[in-house]
Amino acid sequence: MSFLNAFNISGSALTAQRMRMDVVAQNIANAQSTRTASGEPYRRQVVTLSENKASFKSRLSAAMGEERTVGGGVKVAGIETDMSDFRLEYDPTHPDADENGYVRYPNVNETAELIDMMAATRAFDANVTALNSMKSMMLKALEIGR
Amino acid sequence: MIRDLFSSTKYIEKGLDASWTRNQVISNNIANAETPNFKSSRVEFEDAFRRALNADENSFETKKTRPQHRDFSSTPDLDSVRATVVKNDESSMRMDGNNVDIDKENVELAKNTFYYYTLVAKLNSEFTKLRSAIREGR
Repeated sequence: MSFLNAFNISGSALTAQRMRMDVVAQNIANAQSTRTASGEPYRRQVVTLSENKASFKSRLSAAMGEERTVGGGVKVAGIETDMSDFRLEYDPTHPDADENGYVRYPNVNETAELIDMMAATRAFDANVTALNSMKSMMLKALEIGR
Repeated sequence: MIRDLFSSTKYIEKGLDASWTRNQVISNNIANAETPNFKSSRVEFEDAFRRALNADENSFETKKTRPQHRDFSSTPDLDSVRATVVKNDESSMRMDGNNVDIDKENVELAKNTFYYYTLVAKLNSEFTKLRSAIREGR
């Protein structure tokens, strides 16, 4: 139904932004993890977003001459790994130090993560606003002919 | 007479429809504010409607001698004016090709909600007038 589809658009964005927050939290939590299953230090994860194309129904009606397709929101295209270099720190007493006394720490930059988290929060807020406006319009529509 | 009864509500309905579509399009723009290479869309309706409304003043009769001849005045009929979704492909706001201006979208969202409210109020007042007439003003 078209009028409930309106909620799905903002809802998909809420899911995507929450996923971003989760991954940022995971990155910050593992900012000091020098060991993982692969034997390497933890690598930073990045969420990539992509546009969710309009539904089949909406595209069909577009093909049949109804000249408008509203998109279907956003989706998480994947969680990718940041392959940039690890941070090196000199600490010969650390159990994971190499023969020169250097420890490889994850390529997580806490400041960048916090900024990313802020961006995700703001995007989440913006989508909540859009959702609320949709909701209030819907309630208003119920008042027609009262 | 009875045919004209709902003529004004018909146009308000068009406005409501356009406003609803616009809210969906703005929601979609905001949802994709962080998506690389996403291009924002907008809904066009009011200009086309105004053009159709003023069609009588602006248009002139084309002399047609054959059925294939076309009208110079391409103003559409008032009833056939519909909201259309237009994608803005030309600009980029950021390095990743996204062109959603989040501030603009938020303002448009607020504006559009009030526009919708206004139309609903207008529609309700039309119905109230009709009801009053049906009850002979009682």
